[in-house]
Amino acid sequence: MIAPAVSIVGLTKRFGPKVALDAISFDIPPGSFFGICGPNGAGKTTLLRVVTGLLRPDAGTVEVAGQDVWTNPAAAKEFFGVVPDDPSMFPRLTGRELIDFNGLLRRMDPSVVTERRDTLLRLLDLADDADTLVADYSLGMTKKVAIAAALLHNPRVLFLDEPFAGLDPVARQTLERILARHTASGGTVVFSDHAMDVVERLCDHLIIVDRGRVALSGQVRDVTDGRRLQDVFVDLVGAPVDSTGDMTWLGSSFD
Amino acid sequence: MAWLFVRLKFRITANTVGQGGVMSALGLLLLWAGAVVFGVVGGGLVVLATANLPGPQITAVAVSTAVHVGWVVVPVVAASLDATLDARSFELLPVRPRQLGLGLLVAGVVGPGGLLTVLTVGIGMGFGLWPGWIGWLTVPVLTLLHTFIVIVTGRLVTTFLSDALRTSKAQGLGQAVAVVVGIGAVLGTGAAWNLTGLVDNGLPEQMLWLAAVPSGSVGAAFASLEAGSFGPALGYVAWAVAGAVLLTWAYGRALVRSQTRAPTGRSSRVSGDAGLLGSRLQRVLSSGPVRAALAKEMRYLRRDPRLRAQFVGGLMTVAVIGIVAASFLDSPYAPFFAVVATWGVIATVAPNQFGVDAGSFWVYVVAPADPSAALLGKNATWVAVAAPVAVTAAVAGAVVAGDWTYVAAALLASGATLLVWMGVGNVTSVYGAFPLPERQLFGSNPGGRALLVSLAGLAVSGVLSGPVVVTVALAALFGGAVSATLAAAGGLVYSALLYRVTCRWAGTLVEERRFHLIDALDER
Repeated sequence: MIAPAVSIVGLTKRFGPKVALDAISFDIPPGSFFGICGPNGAGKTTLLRVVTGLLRPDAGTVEVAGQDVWTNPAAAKEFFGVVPDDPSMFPRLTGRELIDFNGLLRRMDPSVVTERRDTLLRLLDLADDADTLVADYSLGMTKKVAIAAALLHNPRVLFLDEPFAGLDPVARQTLERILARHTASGGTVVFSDHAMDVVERLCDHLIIVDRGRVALSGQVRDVTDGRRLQDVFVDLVGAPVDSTGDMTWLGSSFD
Repeated sequence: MAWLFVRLKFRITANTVGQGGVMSALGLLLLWAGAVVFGVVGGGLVVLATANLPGPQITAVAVSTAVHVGWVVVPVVAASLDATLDARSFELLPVRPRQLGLGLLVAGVVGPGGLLTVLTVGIGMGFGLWPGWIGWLTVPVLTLLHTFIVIVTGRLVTTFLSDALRTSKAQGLGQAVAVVVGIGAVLGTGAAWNLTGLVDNGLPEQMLWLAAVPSGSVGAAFASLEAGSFGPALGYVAWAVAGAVLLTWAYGRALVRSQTRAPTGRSSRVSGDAGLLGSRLQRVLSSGPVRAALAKEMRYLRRDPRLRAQFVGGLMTVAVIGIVAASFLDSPYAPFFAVVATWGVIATVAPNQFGVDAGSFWVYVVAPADPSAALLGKNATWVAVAAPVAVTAAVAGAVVAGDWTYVAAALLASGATLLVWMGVGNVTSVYGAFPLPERQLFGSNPGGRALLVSLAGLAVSGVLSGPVVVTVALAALFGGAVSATLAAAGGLVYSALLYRVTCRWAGTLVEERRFHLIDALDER
C-alpha cells in the first residue's frame, strides 16, 4: 500500500464554544489533486492552517510525507509549501527579494534560488514587476508571488487556500498548468475553493467540509456520480430558504 | 458630523476593551491614569514655576508645549494609537474632506492627550496665575492656537505616513515635518524657559529662527507680550495663524490624497536588488536564515516608514537629551553621550521587534528554520546600525570636549547597553508583540498585555543596565579613564552573558508561542 502524502487523524479545533474542526480524519494520496470544499465558515481555512502548522489543534495528528507536523515540525516543513487565502508577504520587499528571502530562509543554495526564481517570475508573468515593492502589487500579483515563494523549494505537497481568487484568466490558466505539472511529476496539490466548476475540473479527490465535519469525501467521479458537483454540494449543505421577498424596499425608490 | 466621530471613537474604544478583557481594560486605564498624573504634574509645574520666575505666561506656554510635543511625537512613533486616525477607513462614506478633516481633528482631541492638556492648562488657569486682563485674554487664545497647530501637525504627519501615500518622497516629507516640528517644539520650550528674563522684543537674535516654526512663533508672541512689545507680538501671532492655516490646508490635501490611492507601479520600483547593501556583500550576507533576516531588515529600515519613524523618534529623543544636557558636553565625560545615543537607537525598537513584520510573521513559521533566526537577524541589524551611531557620538563628544580619554570606555559601555536592551527586548518581543501600526493595541489580539509587557520590559532593561552604568560612572568619577575602561569591559562581559541567557529564553519562547504570535501580529 502506498503511504499517503498527508494523513490527518482526529483533528479537532475549538474557538471558545464554537467547534471549528470536529475530529476530522482523512488521507490524501500522493500525486493527487485534492480539493477541499465547503460553505463559508465551514472550517476549510482553519483546517488548512492547522495542517500547515499555523494553528495548534486541540487534538489529533497531522503527518506530511510521514513526518508529524507537531512533533517534528522542521522535518515536515521541508516537504510542503503554503499559500494562505490572504497572503501577507513582507510588503516592503520587491517580488524578486521576497522569493530570494523565502529560499534563503529555507537554507537553499543561492544559485539554485536565483535560477528557480527567474523561471517562476517569467512563468507567472511577474518578470517586469520583479523590482516593484510587494506593497504595490495587486491582489492577483501578490498571490502569484506567494505561489512562486511556495513552489521555490519544490515541495512534495503544496497547500493553497483559494489560490484562484483574484487571478486573471491568463494567470489562472498558467497556475493550473503549473499545478498540473506538479501533480504529474508526483507532487500533491491540496487546495480549497468555493468554485465547484474549478474543483470538478481539476481535482481527482475531494472532501466537503460542513460545520467542522467531513460531510463527504472520495474520488470526484464517485462523489458526483454523473451529476454536477454544484448540485451535489447544494443538496448536501442545504440551500437557504429564499427570503428575498422581504426586501420590498430594494429598488422601490428608483425613478 | 464631528460629534459622530467622537461617538465612533468612544464606541471603538469600548468595543476593543470589551473584547480584550481585563488586560486591555488595565492597559487603557494605565494610559488614562498616566495622562491624569502627567496633567496634574504639568499643572503643578506651572504653579511652582510661576511662583519663582517672572513671566508666568511664558512658563505656561513652555509646559503647554512640552505637553503638546506628545501630539506630534506619539503618532509618529506609535501611529494608530487612535483607532479613528486612519482616514482610509472612511473612504467609502459620502463624507466631504472638510467634514472628515474636522471630524478627525475633533476625535483626536478626545483621549488621554486631550485630558492631559485640559488638566495642565486648567490647573494653571484655576490658580489664577495669569495676572491682568491681557493675560486672561491672551493665554487661553494663544494656548488654543498652539494646541491646534500641534494637533493638526500630528494629523498631517500620520496621514502622510499612512499606507495610502506609500511613495518614499511622501514618507520622507512626513518624517521631515515631524522632525522639524518636534525639535522646534522642544527647542521652543527651552527657549521659552530661557526667555523669562528677557526684555525688548522678547527673543534674542540667535533664537529668532525658532519663530519660523508656528509653535515657536506662539512662544515668541508670549515673550513679546511679556516684554510689553505689542507690535512684534501681533506679527508673531499673524505668522502663527498663517502657519496654522497652511498646515490645515496641507492636512486637507493629505486627506484627499489619502482617499485616492497613490498610483500603483513605477514610484515604488527599486533599482537593482541591493537595497542598503552592495550586491557582493548581499551575496555573502544572504546565505542562511539569520543572514537572510539581516538583509531583509536592512532593506526594511530603508523602506518601511514605521521602522524609520521608530529610528527617527529614537534619534530625536537623543537630540533632545543632548540639548538639555549641553553643559555636560563640555566635560571630559562627553564621549559617554555614545551610551545615550545607543540607548536612543535600541530602546524604541527592541521591545516589539516583530511588530513591523505584522501579518507576514507566518512566513517564518512555515519555514523549516528555527523562528528565533529571525530575532538574531534583527539583532544583527541593530548592532550594524547602533555601532556607527555610537562611534560617531563618542568621537563627536571627544572632539567637542577636546578630550579623548574616555572614548574606549564609552564605546564599551555603549556595547553593554545595546546587549542588555536587545536581550530583554527579544523576550518582550515574543511576550508582548503587536503589529505596527498597532490598530488594536487594546483589541482582542495583543490586548493591553502588549502595552504592559513593553512597559515592564523597559523597566527591566533599565534595572539590568543599572550595574553597568553605575559601575562605569563610579569608576570614571573616582578612578579615572583606566578604571572606567576596565569597568566598562566588565560590563560588556556581564551584558554578553545576560544577552546569551535572554536570547536562549527568547528562542525557546518564540518556538512555543509561534501561534500566539501569528494571532497577536495579525492586523485584521
